[in-house]
Formats: sequence, C-alpha cells, structure tokens
Amino acid sequence: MLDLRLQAFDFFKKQPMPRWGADLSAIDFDDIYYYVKPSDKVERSWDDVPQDIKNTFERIGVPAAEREFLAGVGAQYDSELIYHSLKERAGQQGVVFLDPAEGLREYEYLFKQYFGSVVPYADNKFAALNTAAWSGGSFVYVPKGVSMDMPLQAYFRINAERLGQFERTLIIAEEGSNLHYIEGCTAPIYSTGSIHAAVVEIIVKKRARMRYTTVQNWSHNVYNLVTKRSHVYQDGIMEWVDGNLGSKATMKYPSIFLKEEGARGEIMSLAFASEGQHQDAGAKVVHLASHTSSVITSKSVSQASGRASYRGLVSVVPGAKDVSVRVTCDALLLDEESRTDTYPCMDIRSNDVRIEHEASVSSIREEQLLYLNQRGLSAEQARSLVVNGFIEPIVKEIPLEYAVELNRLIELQMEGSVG
Amino acid sequence: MPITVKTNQHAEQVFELQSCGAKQAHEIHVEKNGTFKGVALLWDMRDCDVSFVIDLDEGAETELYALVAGSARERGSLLVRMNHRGVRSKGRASIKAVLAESAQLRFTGMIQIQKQAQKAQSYLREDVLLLSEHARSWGKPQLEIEANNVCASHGSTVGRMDNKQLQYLASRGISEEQGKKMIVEGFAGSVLEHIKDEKIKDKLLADVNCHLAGAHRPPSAKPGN
Repeated sequence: MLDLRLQAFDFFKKQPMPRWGADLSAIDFDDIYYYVKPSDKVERSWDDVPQDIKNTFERIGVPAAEREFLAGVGAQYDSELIYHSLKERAGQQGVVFLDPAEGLREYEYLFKQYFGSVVPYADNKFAALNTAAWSGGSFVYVPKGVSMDMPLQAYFRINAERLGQFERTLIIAEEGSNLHYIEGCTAPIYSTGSIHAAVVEIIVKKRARMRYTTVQNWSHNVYNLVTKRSHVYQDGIMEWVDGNLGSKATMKYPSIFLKEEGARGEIMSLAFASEGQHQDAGAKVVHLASHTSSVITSKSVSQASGRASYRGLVSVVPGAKDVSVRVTCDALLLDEESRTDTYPCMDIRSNDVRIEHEASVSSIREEQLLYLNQRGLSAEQARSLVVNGFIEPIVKEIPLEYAVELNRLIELQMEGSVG
Repeated sequence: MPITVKTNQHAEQVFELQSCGAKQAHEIHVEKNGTFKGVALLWDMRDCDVSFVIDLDEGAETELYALVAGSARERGSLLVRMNHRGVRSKGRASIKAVLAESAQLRFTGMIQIQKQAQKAQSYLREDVLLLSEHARSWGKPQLEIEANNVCASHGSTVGRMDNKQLQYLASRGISEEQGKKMIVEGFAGSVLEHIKDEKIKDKLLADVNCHLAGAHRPPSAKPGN
C-alpha cells in the first residue's frame, strides 16, 4: 500500500492542474493537513465558529451537542452508539461496514482485489492525491443475495471518527444484493481544511442494486474535488443521488460504466450555487454493452452571483445495440448576477441507440409570483416555493429527514434575496 | 467573409458547402432589430471544419437551419454559436445530420447570453440520423447564461431509422429502399422547406440522396475498409 501511495504521489506531482471547470488557482497544496489523527479533536472553541454557520444550525434544527461536533469543536455525541448498532445490524446480515484502513487489515484479499480497480490513481490529479493520502471513508461488502433492509448511513461512521479530507470509499455489492448507502448531511460541515478530495469506487455485480445518496454542504471555504465511479455488471442497477449545496467550488461528476448486458444506471444531481460559489457538477455514463439504459436528471439553482454548471458525458461504444439514454438538465436563475452553463458531450458510435438530451434555463416568472401573492404568500415565500417545486423531483429521492433539512436550508439561503 | 445585417434590415442566405475540405468560418453580425435567416447544406464533408458565429444586438433575430449529409469515411465538424449581446434578441438554430457508412460528425453548439441581454430567447436543436452502425456522432450542445430573465434551451437526439416506419411503408407497398429514401427526405425536409426556390431545393435533395447512396465518392474510398 505504501508503494501505491508513493506512486500515486509521484503522479500527482507530475500532473498539471485541470485547465477547465472551476477556478482552483487559490489552492495551496503546501498549506493542507494531509492527515489529522482522530484524537486531535478539540482544537477550536465554539466562539471561533463563524456566526453564519451557527445561524444555520439554529435554523435547520441541529441538536446542540451535534452542532459542536459538526463545527469541529466538540466531542462526538451519540453517533458512536448509532454506528455500533448500525454495524451490528449490518453484521447480522453478513454485511461488512468498516473504515477502509480496518477493511484493509481484516479483509486484505478482498480490499486489494478491488481497491483502485474502478478509479486507478492515474485517473486524474485529485484521484492521485487521494490515493496517496487517503484516510477515512468506508469499506462496504454486501454478500451474494443479501438485501440490506435499512440504509447504511456513513454520516454516523464518519462522525464517530471525525471527517477526513481524503476519504476513500470502496463498496462491493455481490450478485443479487441490494444496498442503499447515504453519505453527508445537510448541516454545514465546518472545516478549516481547504480541500476535500474523495474517491468513491463501487462495484455492482450481476443483478445487484445499489443506490448512493450524497447530500453535501461544506462550508464556503472548501474546494470539493471528488471522483465517484461505479462499474455495473449484467442486469445490475446503479443509482447516484447527488446533492451539492456548500463548498467554494465543487467539481464532481458521478459516473457509471455499464459493462455488461442489461445493466442500468440513473444519476440525479442537484446543485445550489450561492454567493461566491461555483458548482461544477454533472454526470457521466459509458455504455459498454448492449441492452443498457441510463437516465440523467440534473437540476441547478443559481442565486446571489453563484455559478452552477452541468458538465456531462454520454458515450456509446461501437457494437453496443439497443441502448437508450435520456438526459435532462434544467437550470433556474434567481437574479441578474448569477450564471449557469451546460456542457454536455455525447459521443455515439453505434446506431442502434435512442439518445435524447434536453436542457433549459429559466427564471421565476412574474405570473407565478403574482399567482402566489394573490393566495396571500409574501414575495419571499413565493420564491422559495417555486424553487422547492423546481427541485422536488430530486428531493423526493432523498430520505425524508435529509429532504426536510435540505428544504429548510434552501429557504435560509434564499432569505433576504428579495430586495 | 463576415456578413453584417444593418439596423432594421433583413437578410437571407443559402450556404452550399459541399466538398469544402477546409476551414470555413462564417461570421454574421445582426445589428439592432435586424433579422437574418440562413440555410446551410453540408454534404461530402471530407475534413470540413465549418463554423457559424452569429452575434445578435438588441432586438436582433436569427434563424439558422443546417442539413449535414455524410457518407464513406468522411469526417467533418460543425460549430454553431449564437452570441446574444443585446436585449430581446432571438435565436433559433436547427441542425439535422444524416450519417451513412463510416461518416463521423463533430458538432459543437453554443448559446451564449451575456449579462446585458435580458429577455433574450434562444433555442438550439440537433437531430442525428445514423444510417449505419459504423457512423459516429459526437455532439456538444452548450449553454452559457449570465442573464436571468431569459428563455434558453437546447435539445438533441441521436437515433437510427425507425423500423416501425419502414414496416408501415412496406405495408403500403413501398419497397424498403424507397421507404428509406422517403424517411431521409422527411427528416431533411424541415431544413429544405426553408429554401424557397423549388428548383434549387430539388437539386439539393437529389445531391444529398446521391451522396448518401454512394455516388460522388472518389474511387479510392470504398466503404467499410
């Protein structure tokens, strides 16, 4: 593993910064803590936490003990407990749910077989950085035919150990298994570290079904540069649900490689860009086999000079037959200062395909506001109602407790946006 | 050569771009309240690199219809960029491509709406009909929107000939070959209908059909090798 880390670090040093997407010029790689020991917990006091973060905790109703933890100042609250019961429950079904370092120790053969098989370190600069410096994340193994009856919430696991900046997640869903994995939370994660470069690798075997839900709300000084990819085998199903709210700049394009016949993929992406933020999110699907299908739905909202971009790829290789793809990207612009872009790319090398792509940009219409005003809603309430309606198709895919927090958070961000 | 449509003027142009074999940049500037309509036909697109950049001032309107027909081992690229610089400008572009044999088309579309271009409306559409399993379509329809009170969207489809349509035509006694020809003509029709002169239209359609059927091909380039 050390050799691999060193190789990856070498590659990271050689690789130039990406010249596209978000502006990353402000990152200083020498000013980053590459490893924080879980015991270095209390470093800051509650008073150092910025006021806007405290306000957000207040508004979305985060319990007091949890607030301190999320702000990185308190000790862990009961997430350790929840993690243990979750782990036990998973264990009863034979599901392995561990920190990747533990995973490497206890299941070395499995771990080494799959680690880096989906995202090799030479994939991109930040995947190399992650491979060199990884700590924290999750290692999940779902045995053949096991259907996990409740979602695995990484939130509790990661909370129990303090969040890493270079998380590495490896999930293996064996034949016929079923898993829903949730990471992140809507409460703002306050971190003084300025970069979060995670890698998520997922292997979905024959007839397995996997859903990976992310709700990310990093504080506004974080560069969130994540590589997420999954390989899907015969008749398997992979679903990414991706919500991006926080961070200074996000570059994240969950991808699905449909490798065998009958594989299906779906990506639902939501981005909310506010003041000073650039959400460069998107989706990639590569159809490598016949009878495969995929659906991409992307919704973005830009306000207060925020910029949201959709960057996507749909690729169909020669000889793949009966392939269908549907891509929909909708953007909502809330004021004159904001910006939205769409950069989809479609590389189709087979003719037995049905490819549809649609994108639209709109703003809140006068008549919508007028109608809601007539029903007694204030301009602010009306606007947030329209936004909630716009993102609803994605929000309804997110577990209820997260969705409720998400809606409250968006209301909060939009507060005072009407002049 | 740049085209400028003066204030309140209207201009129309048909671009016949067969075997152009090189870089061809068309810059069109539509001044205040001017209107421009362009119809572009691109076939035998060997190494063609054609671009249309249309700048739209206040109240300016443009329509652009393009038909691309490729066959043999032709590789071509087409770029359409509508740059909305003024308020209430309107743009509409529709690109249809029919690719046979091992033809490859690289299409880049861009709708840019600048900050000051409020109330702009823009739509870009690309439809690709792939007649052979070796044909390849690469498409990148993009949007860069900096004004909020606008209507901008794009749509794009890629597919092959619908067997159901062929079956329907067969049931009406139309041979497969003829049926395919009719479907291509129907597909291309939405571009060709913008050419007023019937004679030119018929000639162009015949040229496109011929080209797809493999005439015009230099003896050295046999299909599929």
